[in-house]
Amino acid sequence: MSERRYIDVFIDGLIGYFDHLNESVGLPRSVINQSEADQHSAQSVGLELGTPYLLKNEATIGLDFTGMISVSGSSVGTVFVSAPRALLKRILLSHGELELGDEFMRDLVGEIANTLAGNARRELGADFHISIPRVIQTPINTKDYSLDTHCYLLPFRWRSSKAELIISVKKN
Amino acid sequence: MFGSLFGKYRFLVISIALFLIFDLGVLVLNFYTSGKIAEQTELINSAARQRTLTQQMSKATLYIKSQKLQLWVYQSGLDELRDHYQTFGANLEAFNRGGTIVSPSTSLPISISAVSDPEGVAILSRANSLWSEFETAIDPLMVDTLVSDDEIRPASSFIAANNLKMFALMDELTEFFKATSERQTNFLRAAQVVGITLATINFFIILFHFLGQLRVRDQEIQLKQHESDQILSTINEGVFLLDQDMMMSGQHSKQLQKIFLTRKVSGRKFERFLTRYFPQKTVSTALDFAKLYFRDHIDTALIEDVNPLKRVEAIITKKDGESETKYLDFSFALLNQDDSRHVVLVTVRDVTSQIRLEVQDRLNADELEQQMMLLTQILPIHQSDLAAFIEDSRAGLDRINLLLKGTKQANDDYEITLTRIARETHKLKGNASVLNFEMIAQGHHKFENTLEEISRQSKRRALTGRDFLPLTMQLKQSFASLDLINDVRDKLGDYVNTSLNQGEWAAQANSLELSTNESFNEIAQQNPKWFELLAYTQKLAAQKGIAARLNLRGLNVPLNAHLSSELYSIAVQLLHNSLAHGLESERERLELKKPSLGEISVSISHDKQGNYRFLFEDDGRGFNYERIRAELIERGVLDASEAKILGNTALVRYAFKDAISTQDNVDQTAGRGIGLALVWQQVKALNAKLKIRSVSNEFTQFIIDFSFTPNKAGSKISDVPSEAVRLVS
Repeated sequence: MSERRYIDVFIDGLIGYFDHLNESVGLPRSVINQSEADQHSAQSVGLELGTPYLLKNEATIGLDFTGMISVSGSSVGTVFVSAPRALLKRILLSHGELELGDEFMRDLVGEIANTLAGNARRELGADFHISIPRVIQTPINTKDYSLDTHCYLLPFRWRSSKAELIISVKKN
Repeated sequence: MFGSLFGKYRFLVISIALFLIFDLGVLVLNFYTSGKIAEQTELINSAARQRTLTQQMSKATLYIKSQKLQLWVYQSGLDELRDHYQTFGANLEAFNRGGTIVSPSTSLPISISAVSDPEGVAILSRANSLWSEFETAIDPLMVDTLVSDDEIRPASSFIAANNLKMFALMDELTEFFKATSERQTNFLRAAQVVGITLATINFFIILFHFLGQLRVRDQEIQLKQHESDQILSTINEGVFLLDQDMMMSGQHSKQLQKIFLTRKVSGRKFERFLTRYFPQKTVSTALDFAKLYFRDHIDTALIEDVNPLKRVEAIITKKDGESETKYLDFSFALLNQDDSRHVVLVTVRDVTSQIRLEVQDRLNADELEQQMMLLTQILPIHQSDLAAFIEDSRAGLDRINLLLKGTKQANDDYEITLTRIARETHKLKGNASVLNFEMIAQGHHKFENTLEEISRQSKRRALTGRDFLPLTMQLKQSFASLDLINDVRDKLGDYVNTSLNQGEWAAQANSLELSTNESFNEIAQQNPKWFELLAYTQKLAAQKGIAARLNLRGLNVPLNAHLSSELYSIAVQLLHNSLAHGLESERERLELKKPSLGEISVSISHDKQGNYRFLFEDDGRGFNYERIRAELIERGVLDASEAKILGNTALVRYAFKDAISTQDNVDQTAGRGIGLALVWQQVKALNAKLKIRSVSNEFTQFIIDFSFTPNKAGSKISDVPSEAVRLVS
């Protein structure tokens, strides 16, 4: 299992979640390949992936609410999906929710993490064990988790709201 | 089987047999004695009836006599007398000799035995004697229906006189029978008491014997259980038994629970148990394998080789929901039980540490190999140079990471990011190359390839952030490589401090045919890393098949770390440029009547007023303006007519701004056209002026002028307005 494949699985899961969300609210799908990029790059309203960069394992990370998934198997990893209130509020509103309290936002970030975990279970196969996602307190102190020296931070944006997918992966 | 059963339970069988014998004995005795008592009761009743008959015979005799005197009818009295007389006589005869009598209670005939007891015989003897007298007196009355006075009077007198005697004898006989009956009753009671007592004693013997035996057995079982519990709780392996139905035994070792972090082990289906920890494919293979042990004619030693649960990876979920990966080793052994059934002893060992250690060993071996390779590259480097290299490289990688982080999601911004990252990378690669860090330099070279690939993609379509993922991944790898170098440096400690003394430098410089004009020590003290360029020049020149010599001058001036690092980096890029494009091969030089050895000079001079000049020059072929022009046209930067009218200065400006290279092939030091652009960027960052002098086939000079105040607070470069590239030809 290459590191690239591992990261791709989670990115694809994220794209899948927001595509599904877009379909439910009648928006176009995310820009993920060349032809789509050519057509939609300027005015895309789907999920937009920012430039991934590295995060040193010596700081606190995370936005307002964070869901966490642990992966074990030939590679051990931790994946965080962290979102601000603004994004979660937009998603809740898209679902027609009128309750926008913290409890609902926590549930929502857990649901996103759960979708990523489900996708990873399907894609990574039986050689990997994907934990039940947990919603954790933010900011996250990276020292509390057994993360790699450098984690990948993949910023993404949905309808102008930014959030982060943080992936730590290391060989077992 | 019966023999062994009888043998094992002999005491029980004998005890139960005795119990039955006692009970049956009492029962038989009871039956017999009851019969006797019943017979005796009949005798008592018969004897009592004899007593009554005596009275009735007397009464009948008196009746007959009375009736006869009054000349009344006496026939009924006579019939009664005769009947009583015959009954009495028959009964007495039965008492004497045995026979049949009519039961007084049931009026049915019953058989009785002759009285044999001497006491009874004596009573009967006296009764017989008296009865014979009764017979003598009464017999005349039995003959005819008419009774004479002579016949009735003596009979009546005799009966009246002896009636009470016979009554007393019959009473005595009754009492005798009663006494006999009582004796028999007492005997029966005694026999019953004895029998029941024996049976009870036997019962208690059985009870206590078996209770004792059960207690001993229980103690033995408890002891064995305790022993097996102790064994199972102390062994360091997970152990359980597996039966033919693939069910796990009730007993198992404590370690099994620890390995699988569960208490739900006993009596579980093996398949369901495994499913919690292993993929379905592994589970089904494991079950098929375990079933082989229960098949006939299977050589277990042979099938052990195909055991699918050898060093198998298990995912074990902890209480908090976290998962833990363990490597487990299952082994199977066939056991034959007493009842000839088979079970399989399954032993589970947690070999996680061992496997991790093996992996670690392999990794360590790889790491060691990598470290050894690094060691050969690190050892010749001055410790402070190495530290500076690591620090500079980390700072460079951090800058690249910041560029990635700060990139906006727009194609134009992506282009800018790619260009900036390319320059940073080129600088890092140059520094690594000078220090002979092949591993790092190659890493940066690959990084540049990836940058170019992304750049090419950007020409075909709009980029997304995901396109940068390979870069980020390589960046992580570069950080890891630096960490590795740092680890090796830390491990080497003081051994890396191999600064060459003046003599050694001179020797080295001499062997490399290098020239330096200042005191080696001075340069070594102020800017030691410049010396790395001497060997680096030789190495690169050899790679490119040219002869070259580097001259260092004026490098003993004190410069601050930043300035020194920037100038050094510029020198590296210009050195690459000279060796790739400037200096000719020995053959070409000879044809041009030049010395075969190409000369490159790097010098720093100043006017003691804070105005410094950094000069880099070579005696090579100078700028190839036509090649730059062709490259600009080829890349579509300019069309042919535009390019044609461009002057040399403008062409050189393009060479410094765009990725223009006059080398056909990209190699690790040149060909991407980034070097001069990077130099220009650094010159701008230093607020310096760049002048270029180039004469075709004669020389090229790069003159960088800047202001600097040494040994003052901060040692800052003075603000000198930057100026466009000025070409002086």
